[in-house]
Amino acid sequence: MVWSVTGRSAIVHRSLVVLTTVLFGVLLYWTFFRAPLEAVMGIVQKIFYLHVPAAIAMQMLYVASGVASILVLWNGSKRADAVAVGAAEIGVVMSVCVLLSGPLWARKAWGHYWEWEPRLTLTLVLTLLFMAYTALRAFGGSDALTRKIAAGIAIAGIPAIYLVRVSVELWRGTHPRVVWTGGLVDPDMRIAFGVGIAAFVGLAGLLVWERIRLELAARALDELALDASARYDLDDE
Amino acid sequence: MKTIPTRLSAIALATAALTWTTLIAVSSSAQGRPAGAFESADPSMFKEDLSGIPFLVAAYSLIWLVLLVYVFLLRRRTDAVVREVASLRAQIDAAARAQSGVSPHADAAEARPPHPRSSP
Repeated sequence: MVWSVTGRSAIVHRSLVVLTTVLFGVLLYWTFFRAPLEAVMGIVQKIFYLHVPAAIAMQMLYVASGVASILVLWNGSKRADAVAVGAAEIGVVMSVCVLLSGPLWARKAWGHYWEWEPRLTLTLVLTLLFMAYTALRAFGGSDALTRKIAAGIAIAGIPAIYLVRVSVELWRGTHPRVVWTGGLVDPDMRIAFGVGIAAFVGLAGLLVWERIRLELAARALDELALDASARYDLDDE
Repeated sequence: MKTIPTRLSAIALATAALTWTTLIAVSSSAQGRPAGAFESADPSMFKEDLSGIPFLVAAYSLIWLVLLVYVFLLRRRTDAVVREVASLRAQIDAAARAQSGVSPHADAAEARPPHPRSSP
């Protein structure tokens, strides 16, 4: 069956499920029992250990979707197309996590939920871009033109991801800069952060895997239905 | 069957992900303390300040909720595809029988296993 994972893939799949579950357990333990309270923000800084790993997973997924879309335009690969769809959709899920957790942290740290600061604004724009991509793929049909337009949208996301990365330095945003600047002073903070990245990347990988399988199964089903309609007189249900 | 370029792409993506993760981890532990660095505090400082807890609980709850809702929706879509496959299979079987001259409904009734509750 198209939706069942068999053979060597099943071992890899189960290993990834177990590994991701363990990593999330370790993340929660390290966040709440090992990582110390931050000197200025206190306990609310612990949002960082979910917020930033989710943002990193989001960026990786959008890059994957953009690269896969380049392949779609280049050679029309159906697998690359499924990867682009899956990565974009899970990327939007991660974006929602980032955009929900960030303002809660900001409310305590900055005193208000939202600020039209470069990184926040660009992340919102990036999320809307990939929401448009996902909506186009979900409701725009499956013809070649729709796929090409959607691929163009995903590719346009790649420079936007780079801008999200450099926006704070480029436009002097107020967003904290600790990840690339050695700003995690305590070793337990670094461990919690590293485990968080691994856990979210593992979760994103698993979800993308499931989404790609679903996409390929749905397409195979459509082709089978068309083929069967040509051979037999089927009901229109 | 997976082609070699597909495998190579998968390996390249995995390597890129690993490199990126390592780079971030290494850079976050670089020497020197930049402005705005996260520094650990004496826990006794925060004994009286619990105002951040509702935000922390809300953030963690919302992230788990979003992920669980997505997994639930993904599961529902997978179930829908499974149902469509079963429906299409039944239609193809019926159409194939009809083409071979046997009434699909009569045949289906014969082929259908007895309902567990109707068995003696």
